[in-house]
Amino acid sequence: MPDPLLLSSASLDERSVALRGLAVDALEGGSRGHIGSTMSLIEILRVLYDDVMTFDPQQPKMAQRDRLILSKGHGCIALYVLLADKGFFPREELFTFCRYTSILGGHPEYGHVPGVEASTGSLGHGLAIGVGMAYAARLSNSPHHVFVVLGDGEIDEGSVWESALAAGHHRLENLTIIVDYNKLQSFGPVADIWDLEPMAAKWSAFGFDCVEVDGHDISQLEVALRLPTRSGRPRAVIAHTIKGRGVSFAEGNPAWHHKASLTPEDVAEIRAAVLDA
Amino acid sequence: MRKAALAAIGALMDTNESVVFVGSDLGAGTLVDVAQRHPGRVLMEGIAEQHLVGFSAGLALEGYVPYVHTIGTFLTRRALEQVMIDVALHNLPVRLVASGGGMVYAPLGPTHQSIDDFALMRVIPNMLVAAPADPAEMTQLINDLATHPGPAYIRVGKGGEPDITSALAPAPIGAVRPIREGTGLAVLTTGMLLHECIQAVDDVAASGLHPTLIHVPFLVPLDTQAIETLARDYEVLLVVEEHVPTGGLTTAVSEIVATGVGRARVVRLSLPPAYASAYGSQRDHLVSHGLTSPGIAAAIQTNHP
Repeated sequence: MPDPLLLSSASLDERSVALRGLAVDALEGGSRGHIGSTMSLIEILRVLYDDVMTFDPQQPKMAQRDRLILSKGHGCIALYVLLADKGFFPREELFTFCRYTSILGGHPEYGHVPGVEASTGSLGHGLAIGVGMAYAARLSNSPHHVFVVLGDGEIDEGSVWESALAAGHHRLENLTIIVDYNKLQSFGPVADIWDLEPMAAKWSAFGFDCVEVDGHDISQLEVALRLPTRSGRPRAVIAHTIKGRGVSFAEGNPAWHHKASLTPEDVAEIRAAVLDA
Repeated sequence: MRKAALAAIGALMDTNESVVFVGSDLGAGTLVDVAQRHPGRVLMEGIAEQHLVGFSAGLALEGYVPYVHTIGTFLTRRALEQVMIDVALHNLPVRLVASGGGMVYAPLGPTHQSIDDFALMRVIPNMLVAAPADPAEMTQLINDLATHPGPAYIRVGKGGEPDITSALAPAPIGAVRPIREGTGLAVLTTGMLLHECIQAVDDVAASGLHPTLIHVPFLVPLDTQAIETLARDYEVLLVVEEHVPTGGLTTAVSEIVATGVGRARVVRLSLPPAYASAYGSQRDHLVSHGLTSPGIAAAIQTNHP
């Protein structure tokens, strides 16, 4: 089992609180959303967009940009927040989440949202696409890197392991996967549904260079995500996170995996909890 | 026809750097010569069709045109969601080159018999669905698809078909190909059954019947205008296909005729709605279900107005 001491209980810094505030804007706009799955992801995506990836919001298709695929597409609010924050589209768009004419659906779609590299939603698809992209980068001698963010429950899908075999076999050192290991899936604890331990050993055995971090600790994430990969191995970053992080009553509570029909009062409570985090 | 498809893909790779071949544990030696000429562009991946299709979508998102090749049922059934979401939803130029179309793998049993591929692929938005009738048509299709913008499914039929189509006028993607011009009844078919239909149409001439014969290499995009004209000009459209009764060419033709465009009645000659309960050869099954020339000729005689 992962060392619980890995997880910092420190307060969130100003930026993490502000990003969560933007996530609440989307929850408010759509009156719904995968709250727990979004909040566990914020720091992972924050560090990728703030400190690690090369991109240009004005040229979202720039050839040498780094690619990010959110394979756990239900955590899309976190991705929308970072894309809005970086200027891929106006922040006000967050308030349209899931509305009929919005570009921002309940799962991210390629071609609708600038900066979204692949449509995801059905779990177990993103890694195969990412492996294809990383292989393509090698074929065309492009120096960019491919990041794929997976959910922990998602890796129950057998297709994930087909692609893990392929990434290891092709020794794709330009590929990094990050597992948002928040230990909770829809029904309850991951360990009770299908225990995924030993998580790191699984990825190592598939040929990945594996690192474990506190997925809410900015400096740990930065070090792990910027570390040069060992020659000839893809990287796996196991990010230990807390589902619902930053919303006290949602933290570690499977009931907050997804909520539809949020009332204005619910949203106000979530916003207050975030400001208090 | 599979040999022609592989040869055409190999030749295409010599002239088009964006073309990539992705196979799944194919027979020993497959395309090794091409792999030597184009290191890295011939991939022989593991037995993992879901990955294969998603991986190819990733390549296509980066500007490559992957020709994915393995046994048809594993692409259409095993990897259906990857085909629908990773490839078709993204509208990517991935080519699914599916071997064993129809009952080619009859002796291997129902797991390998690709008898529902048209139905599965036809419902997918953006997907081109083609069934060439001979090696010449296959070669042309492989080349034409190098620049086609969206995804494509290609049924690869039995090997050893005689060359029929190279004598025909060139047909663009989506066009039907008239084979025999007649009256009263039009036979429509696709894929390798064209050869049986030609024999049947020629055989019934002795009894004074002269049906029209149309080859439909593309189920999608379907040549709607041509089908509408046939529905107006003929009393009977006899659709002959190596496919379960639902969702294939007969369904596609019926969907057009049902709009009331003409007077024609649609008659279906297909495989039964069942998993095969016998092995034997492809031909055994075609004979058993009236899909060789004597059975097709009998259907023409029965239904000719």
